[in-house]
Amino acid sequence: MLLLGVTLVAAAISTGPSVGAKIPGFSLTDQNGRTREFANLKGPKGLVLVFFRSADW
Amino acid sequence: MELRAHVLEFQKHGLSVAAISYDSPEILKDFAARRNINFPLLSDADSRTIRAFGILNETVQHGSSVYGVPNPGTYVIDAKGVIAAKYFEAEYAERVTASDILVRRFGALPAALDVPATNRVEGQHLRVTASTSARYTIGGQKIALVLTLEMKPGIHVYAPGVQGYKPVEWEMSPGAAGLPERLFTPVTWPPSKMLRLKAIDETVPVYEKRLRLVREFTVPSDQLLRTATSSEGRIALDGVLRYQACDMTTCYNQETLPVHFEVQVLRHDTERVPEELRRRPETQ
Repeated sequence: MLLLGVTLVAAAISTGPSVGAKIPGFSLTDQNGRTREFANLKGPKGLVLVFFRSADW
Repeated sequence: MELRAHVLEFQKHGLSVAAISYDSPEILKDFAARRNINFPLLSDADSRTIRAFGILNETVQHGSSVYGVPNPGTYVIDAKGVIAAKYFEAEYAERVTASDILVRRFGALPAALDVPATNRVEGQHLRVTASTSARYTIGGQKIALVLTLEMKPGIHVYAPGVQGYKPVEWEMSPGAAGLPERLFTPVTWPPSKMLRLKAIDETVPVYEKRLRLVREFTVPSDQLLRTATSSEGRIALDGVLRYQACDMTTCYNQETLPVHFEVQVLRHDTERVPEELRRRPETQ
């Protein structure tokens, strides 16, 4: 169904900052209501940050 | 989420894990409870962070309920906030799996997952074990196919580019499963060692002891997936490993060993990937 407006794009998608670049700052609420930012998320070597489409569909 | 099973593996490498979507904290709470997820799920309800990263999915119509979603992908960020690696896919339907990232970035098969070796063959000079980065997969995912060669003491094999000897070759025969070759990437070759053969005054690139070779396989979707999947829901992939083994005095005839991989295909998780959101190339 194209009703939802998902169309094909042959061109490369945008994948954000390059390897070697610093990430933009962020402050977001997690599933337990806590405010999270990079500083309180990262482990000793850093963070695996996954962007996913939705938990609901 | 396939990611959940791998959080401990990332933690072993000093990395914590978090996931961002445009869902409300309430939806994420419900989702985390249902799926037993204990790593942070971050709510970016106004897509501000998704935009700040520059990965808003611009192909989605403004005003639709799915407007605001990101191009799905993963960043590995070091402790200073610098991106060390990133994994995005050009194709909407393709997804890089967490286990694939583990293999590609750390060369480590997630041992804790108890991924079974799908095939082990004893050659005359080495043993080859075939394994996959994931036991289960779905259409569109990328998984790593891994061959581990354990050579007998004193034996070496040749790296690609060697002159005068036969290098190690790993060929898949996708045709047998009805699959096109483009679903397989070339092999990733680890650095070889330069070995000096005094007797004949030659220096050659070799591998000794243990060699791990990785290539990726994109699990096909739709009709191709149905063709390739057995009635038990399995995809079997066959190929061959060829090598010429030598020790410091003798070179042996080239040997060819069969390699065999198997992965179980799960049906699409419809909570995440509803039918109507899959790409329809023919309806552009």
